[in-house]
Amino acid sequence: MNETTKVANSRFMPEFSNRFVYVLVVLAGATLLTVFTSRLFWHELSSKNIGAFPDAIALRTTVQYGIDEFQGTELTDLSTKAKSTMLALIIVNFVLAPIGFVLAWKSLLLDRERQARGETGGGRHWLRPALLVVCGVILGHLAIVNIITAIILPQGFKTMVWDNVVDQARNDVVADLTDAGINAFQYYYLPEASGGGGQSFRSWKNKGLPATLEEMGIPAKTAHGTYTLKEIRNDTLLVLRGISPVVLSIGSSPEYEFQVSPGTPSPPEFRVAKIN
Amino acid sequence: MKRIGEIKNVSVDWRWVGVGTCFFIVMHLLPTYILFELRVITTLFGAIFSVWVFAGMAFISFFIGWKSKGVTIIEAGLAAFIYGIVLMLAINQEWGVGPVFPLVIKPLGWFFAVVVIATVSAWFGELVQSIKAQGKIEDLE
Repeated sequence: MNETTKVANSRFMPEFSNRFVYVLVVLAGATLLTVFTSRLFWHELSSKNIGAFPDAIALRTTVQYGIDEFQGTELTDLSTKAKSTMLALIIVNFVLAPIGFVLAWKSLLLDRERQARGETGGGRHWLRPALLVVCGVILGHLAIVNIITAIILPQGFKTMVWDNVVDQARNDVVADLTDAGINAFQYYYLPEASGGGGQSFRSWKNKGLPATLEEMGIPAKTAHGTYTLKEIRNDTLLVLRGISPVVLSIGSSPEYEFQVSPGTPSPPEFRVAKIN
Repeated sequence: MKRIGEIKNVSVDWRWVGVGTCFFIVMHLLPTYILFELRVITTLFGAIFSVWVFAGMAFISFFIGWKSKGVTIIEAGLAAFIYGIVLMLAINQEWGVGPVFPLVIKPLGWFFAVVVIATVSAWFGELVQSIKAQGKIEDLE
C-alpha cells in the first residue's frame, strides 16, 4: 500500500481531509446553536432565557444595576437560580470550553505523532474528537454571536441615541406648549385694562380680532420649536400648534397641538394631542 | 468507496448525507442568519427570498453531486430534506417571521420542492463530473 492510499484510507471521507470535516461539523453545530438560541437573546432578553448568552445577560444586568443606582430606584434583582445558571454558563463558555478545546487539540496532535512513530495509543479514540467538536461548537457559536453583535451594536447605539434625541425634542415641544397654554390661560382671565383678554381670547388692542401670540406673551419661536395659533373658537377654545426642528426618519418633524379651554364656569382643561 | 446501508441496488452513503447537511447549514443557513440579523434580508421576503432559498439549495446540491467521488444524488436529496426541516423550524419557530414562502403554501409542497430541486441539481453535478472525467480519459488516450 503506497503513502497516498494510506492517507486516503485514514480519512473519514476520501474527498476531504479530516480537518476539513471537523471544521465543517463544528461550524454547522455552532450555526445551529446560534440560530436556535438567537431568539432568546434578540427577541426575549430576560432572566429566564439566560442559557444562550450568559455574558450578555450579565452585562445587561450590571448596566441595569448602574442605571437603577444612578436614578435612585429600587434595584431589580435576579433570582439565585438565574444567577447561578449565569455563572455556570460563563464558566462553561469562557473557561471550560477553551481549555477543553486546547487540550483535545494537543492530545490529537500528540496522538498523530505517536502514530507516526508507530506506537499504539490508549483507548477511547472517539473521546478527543468528540470533545474537540463540542468545545469547538461552543466557541464557534460565541464567535458568530460576537461578530454579529459587534456589527449590530454600534447601529443599535446610534438608534438608541437618535431615539433619545427625538424623545427629548418631543418633551421640549410639549413643555413649551404647556408654558404657552398657561400664558394663554392667564391672558384669558386678565382684565383688558391690565393687557388681558377679559374672559376672552380677543385682542385687547384691536377689538374684535383674535389675540396674537405676542399679546398673550407666547414666543413664536424658541430653541425647541416653532409655535403658531391654530384656532380660537368662540372664546371657549384656543388651539396652539408646535413643531420641532428635528426631522424624523419619515421626513416630517415631531408636531403637537395644545388645546386650552378656560371652561367658565367648569374647571379649565388643557389637552395635548400628538400630530406627528 | 465504503457504502453503509445498502438496500439491493440502492445504496446511501450516510457520511455524505451528514456532510451534505453540514454544507447546507454552513453555506446557506449561516449566511441567511447573518443577513437576517443584519436586517438585510427583511427586504427580501416574498418571491426574492424564495429564490434565495431555492437557488442556494440548488447550488449546494450541485456541489455535493459534483464533488463526491461516487454517485450522490439521493444523498443530496436526503440532506436537503433534513435541511428543509431545520430551515423551516428556524424561520417559523425561531425568527418568528411566519410563512415566507409564497411559492410553497403547504409544508408537503415545501419538502417536495426542496427534495426535487436538490436531486435535480445533484444530478447535474454528477453530469458535469462525468463529462469532466470523460474529457480527462480522452486526454490520456
